Amino acid sequence: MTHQEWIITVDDEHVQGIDEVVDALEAVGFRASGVLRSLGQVTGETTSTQQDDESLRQALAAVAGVASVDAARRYRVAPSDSD
Amino acid sequence: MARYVVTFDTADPGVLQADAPDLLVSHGFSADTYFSQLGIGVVDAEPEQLESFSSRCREQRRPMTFTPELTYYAISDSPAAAGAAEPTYRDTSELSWGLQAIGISSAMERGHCAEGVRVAILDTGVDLAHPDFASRGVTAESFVANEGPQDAHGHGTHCLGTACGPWQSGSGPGYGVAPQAEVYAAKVLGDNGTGSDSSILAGIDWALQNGCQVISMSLGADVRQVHPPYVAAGRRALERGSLIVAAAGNNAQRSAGNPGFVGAPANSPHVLAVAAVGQHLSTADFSARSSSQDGGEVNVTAPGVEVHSSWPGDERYRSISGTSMAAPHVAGIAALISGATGSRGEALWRTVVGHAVPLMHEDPEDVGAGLAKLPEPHSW
Repeated sequence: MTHQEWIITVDDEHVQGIDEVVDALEAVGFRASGVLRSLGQVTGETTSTQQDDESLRQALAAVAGVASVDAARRYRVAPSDSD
Repeated sequence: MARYVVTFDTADPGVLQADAPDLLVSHGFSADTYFSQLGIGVVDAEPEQLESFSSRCREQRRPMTFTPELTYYAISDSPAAAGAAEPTYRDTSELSWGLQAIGISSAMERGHCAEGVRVAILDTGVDLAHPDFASRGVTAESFVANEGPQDAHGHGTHCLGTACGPWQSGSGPGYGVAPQAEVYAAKVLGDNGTGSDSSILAGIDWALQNGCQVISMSLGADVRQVHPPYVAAGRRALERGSLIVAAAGNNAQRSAGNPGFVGAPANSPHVLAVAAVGQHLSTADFSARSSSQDGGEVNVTAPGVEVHSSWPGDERYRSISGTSMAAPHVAGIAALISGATGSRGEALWRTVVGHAVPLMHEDPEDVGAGLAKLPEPHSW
């Protein structure tokens, strides 16, 4: 079982109806951890047993109102030479 | 005849590698200076020739644009510039060198201190007990699981101090650009200094909900690719009147011949990327250069070497270096300008970049429009 964290960006037309987009995402196995109403984005994760991440990504991307689906990245404080 | 840069606007490798140079040659242009990975060539031509070439390319569904080639000069080599050497700044007992370099005296003279402006610092949190902030009514929130907003790392307290700390400090020089701004500290990086998109975007969303005019992010990942969530986030923030400022990144090692590149999220088109200069106003060894991505350019530069600011715990103050230290200088400048003029969003972006002072001895790829500065006293 693998967990994958995703950032879902909702298109401009669906930002007002973001809760419906979240419901539709959850219907295909997405677990929302945050609904960012000002940004029109949803954070959350999927767990896969057989499906690979790419087919999961495509299933999420096919949901009406989804503009993009991106695997979450890690960031750090921009390190410095004297840090 | 003049020299023009022609750009074939496609990602199709077949077009870039074969069709485009064939088109150039079959229309009488040279393909000697054609870069097939980029789809960009440089040709000698009259503008009318290129107009008609452009229409033919369009007819063949191989869209092409052209612009006159710009020439960049190493101005530091000329005698005129040699006499106009930039000053060297030093911390004094009154002011950090960074505040002097951005022209803080103009804000002091005019009494502009960012009153009523909300600034969000997305970082490792804040030392809420720090004597310079204890009475400021800092609003702090953690977006990191199982960690409160208290800063156990130090980086967040330092960046927050540069953007919003005091002009006069009980001990040591004044070091904060926008001393009356309302501070919103979002902990989006954990005590180990790392964090995920989920936390960072949640922090941006929180800043927008709270009406913050300026969002400062001294964080990054050393990747060239633009990360789509920040394209949408930057655009939506600007539309809501909020300017996101980010550190360009510290992946250069110029002394070893590596100029680095602007990483994510500073490389997003609607995020203002800030590089770093040292006390001589020359680009810091670690400061990343513009990348070729759309939006990956450095927009301005700011003080980022040996920057004195607040630090958690008994130490209280520390001097450290990084583009992380430069970005909050610019966030503070944006806050002061917004407070004085009411400017927000895109307009605030243009004003901040428009007041940057070109650095004659530096390449625009490294410093963008130049050193971020406050307006002259008579002009705000």
